[in-house]
Amino acid sequence: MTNKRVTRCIANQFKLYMGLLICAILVGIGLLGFGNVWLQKSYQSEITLLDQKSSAALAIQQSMNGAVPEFRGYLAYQDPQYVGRIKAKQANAEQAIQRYLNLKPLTAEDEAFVTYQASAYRKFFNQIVPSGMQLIQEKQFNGAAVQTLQQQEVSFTDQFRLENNNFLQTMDNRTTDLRNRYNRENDWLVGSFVAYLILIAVSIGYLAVRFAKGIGQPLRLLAFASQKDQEERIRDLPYDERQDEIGYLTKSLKSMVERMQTNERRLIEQNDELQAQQEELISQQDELFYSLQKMQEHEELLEAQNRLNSSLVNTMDRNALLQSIIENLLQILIADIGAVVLLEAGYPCATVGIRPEMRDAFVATLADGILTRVVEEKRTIVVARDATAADKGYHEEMIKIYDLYVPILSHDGVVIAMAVLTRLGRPFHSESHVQAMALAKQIALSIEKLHTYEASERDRVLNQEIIDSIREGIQLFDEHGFVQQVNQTWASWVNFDFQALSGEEATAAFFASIREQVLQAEELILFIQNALQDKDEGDEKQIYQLRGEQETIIQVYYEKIYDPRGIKRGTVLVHRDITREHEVDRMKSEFVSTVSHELRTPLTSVLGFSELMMNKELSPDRREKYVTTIYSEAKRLTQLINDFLDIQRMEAGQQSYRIAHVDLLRLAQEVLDQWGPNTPNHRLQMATAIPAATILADEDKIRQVLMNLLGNAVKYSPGGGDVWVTVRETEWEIIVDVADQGLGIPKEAIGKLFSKFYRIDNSDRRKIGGTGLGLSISQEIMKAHGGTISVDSELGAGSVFHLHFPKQGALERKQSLALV
Amino acid sequence: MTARILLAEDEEILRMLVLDALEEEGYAIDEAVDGLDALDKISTNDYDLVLLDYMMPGLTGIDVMEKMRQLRDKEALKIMMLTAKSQKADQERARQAGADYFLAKPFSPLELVRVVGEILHDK
Repeated sequence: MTNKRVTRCIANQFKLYMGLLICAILVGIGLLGFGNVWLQKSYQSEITLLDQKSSAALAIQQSMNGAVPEFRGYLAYQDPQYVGRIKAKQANAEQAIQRYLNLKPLTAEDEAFVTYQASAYRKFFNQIVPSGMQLIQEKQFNGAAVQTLQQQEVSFTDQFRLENNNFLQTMDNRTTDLRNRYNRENDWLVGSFVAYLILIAVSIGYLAVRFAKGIGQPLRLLAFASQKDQEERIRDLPYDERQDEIGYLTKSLKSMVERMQTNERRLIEQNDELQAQQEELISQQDELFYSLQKMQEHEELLEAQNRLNSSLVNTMDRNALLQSIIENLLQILIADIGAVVLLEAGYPCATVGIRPEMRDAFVATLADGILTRVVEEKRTIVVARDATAADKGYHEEMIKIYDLYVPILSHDGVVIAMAVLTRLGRPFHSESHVQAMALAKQIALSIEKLHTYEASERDRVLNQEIIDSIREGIQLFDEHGFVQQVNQTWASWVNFDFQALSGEEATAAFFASIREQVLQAEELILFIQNALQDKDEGDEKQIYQLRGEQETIIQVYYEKIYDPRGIKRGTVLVHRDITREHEVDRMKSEFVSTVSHELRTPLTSVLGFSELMMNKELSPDRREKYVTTIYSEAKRLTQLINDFLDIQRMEAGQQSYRIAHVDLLRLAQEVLDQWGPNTPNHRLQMATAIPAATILADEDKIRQVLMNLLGNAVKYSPGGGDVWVTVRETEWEIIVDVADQGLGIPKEAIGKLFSKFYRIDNSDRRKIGGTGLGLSISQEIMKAHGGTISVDSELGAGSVFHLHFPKQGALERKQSLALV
Repeated sequence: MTARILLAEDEEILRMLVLDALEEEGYAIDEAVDGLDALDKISTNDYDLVLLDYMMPGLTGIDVMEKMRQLRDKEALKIMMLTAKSQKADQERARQAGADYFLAKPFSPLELVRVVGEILHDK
């Protein structure tokens, strides 16, 4: 710091002043102290002097006073001790006086006192005492001289005392005066010190004021001006000229203020700029907010549309679809209640917020209402109406209700459905129309898809029913060899329910069921696997048998399935129950084998006997026998072949019949007559209850039947007996009975009686010849004539065969009666 | 020793044929009219040869033969089947069931005589 600064620096100034003041105070204190001390000292010395004087005086007095009683005592008692004591006292008094004299300075009073004392002393000790002593020595005790001396002494003593007292008093006064003077001076000192202090205080006050003014105020002002919002005032402050801190502060504050103001201006500018930016941002934010809001709305809308879409895509249940459509439409178009209805049979519809009765009413009046207009115009229509009490609910004022009718058009412009959306009190604006039409397109697609799906479902169900109704077993395998479908027929054959299964499970179950139910399981499985794997090396057909009590033979073949592009889609296995065919084939082959056997037997005899005849010498009887046998066997052979051919023809349906009116009575009689001569053991008789029995028939064939029955009756009653032929009628039939009394037929044989080659096995019958085809042929003939053949028999008692012929026109009459 | 033959054949005429054919050979021939009859006779009598018809009512020739074989083995009893079935498979079945010989119908009686002679001669 330069000197300039030092002198100008407030702090230094302050320090200076304070220093000065402190010094002044200290000086004052010092002076005061010094003065006090000096005063005290002087006082003390004075007082001490006085005291000493007093004490000396007192000592004088005391000595003098002390000597008096001693003198008096001496005078009284003449004790020499008193003399010593008087001397002592005298010495003391002298000492004291001397002492007093040494107490310089002596005032005039002191001088006077001492002079007096000295004179007193002299008087007493030099006059009185010696006189006394003289007297005493003279032994003039109580003489007049003594008395006079005594009186002298007394008056002296009194005066002495008086003087002393006066002096002492004076001394006291002097002391007192001194004291007072001291006090005064002290007071004066203190007072002047106080005045000094006051002066100091005043100076301090002055300085303080000066400082306050010069520093405090500026500071205050500066401080005040530094306050927020008061910066302006700094500029007004005049202190910057000053060279001290205030000036400095002021200058710097001013410059600061200027800077601040500059900054402030800048900041204000920036602020304005920022403000402007902010306003822009705010407006952008508003825009964004608006956009966000719009987006949210849009998102909600999209969500609702998404839900709608999702249900449109995923829902194949009609009612669920309609329900979802109306619920989502309501939400998307912000409506309060609504309904959607399909324009097809039954008007299936779904509603939200509508009572069932109202819904029924709505559907019922659909065709009469706005629907027609909607269908014609093919666009959305809004109808406004006043709310009814029911619609209003708790609203007090009248509100309007707006119904938005939305037609849902198919891709070729046909209105296939209609939606109605209702807003209570809020109208629909143009964007609702636009939106509704857009949604309608989507809904239309989904409805069409639903229709397609339903149609394909119906087809599928129909296909499944068809497949299940087919009596062949069918399995469909996909291109990977997994079971896709197993029809009901197959499932029932293997007694397994495949419905719940699919894919791998179904495939496993399928093969398991084969292993369980098929006798040649592994061969069948191998066959199927070859079929599935495109191996063409195996057979295309396979035959297998199912387990079970009844013999069930199945023949399976497979076909590959290709889609239109030629890619293999799967394999179909078709299983045919060929049990009957198989049975038939077996029966046929059995038949053939039996026939061949039957043929060979007579053939053997014909050839055999012929050979014997050719190669052996035989007796004529023998030869006769052989020839007869050959002949009869040949005939038998012929008969066999004829019967065989007959039955084949009849079974193949290739037998032709010449139908004409036939008199059964006549025919029966003819046959009896023909047989009669050949049956000597039998009585052949005919009985009839009716006069005539005419049927439409092939006469030769009927004859054949009668011949067969008659022949059997005769053959199978080898013991002879009666054979009755009776002809009778019922309302619908003419019945011919042929009864014998022969061997009878066991019950178990009756069922097989009419099958080919059936001849009952027992020892009785094996003797009886015949082809075993007779009854079969008879049955075929009766069937061809619309009739039946039946038998009643009792083993051992005989049999009755019945031929039932339908009467002419019986069938038609039966039918017409049935209708009635 | 006279050979004993059992003829099991249900057709009377064929029995006559066989009997007549073998008449002069000096065999003792018994007749059986069906399977049961044949088995009955087998169990009670000893035969050297059985002429067995394949197709008979009741037990078939095969059944009869199997049962016969239970009673008599091949050494003791020769069996010849007479049958209309001439397929190789049938012959094989017959052989497996125990037949030694096989003669198809219609057979030549002279052939029959010759074969029977061979069988019984070999014995």
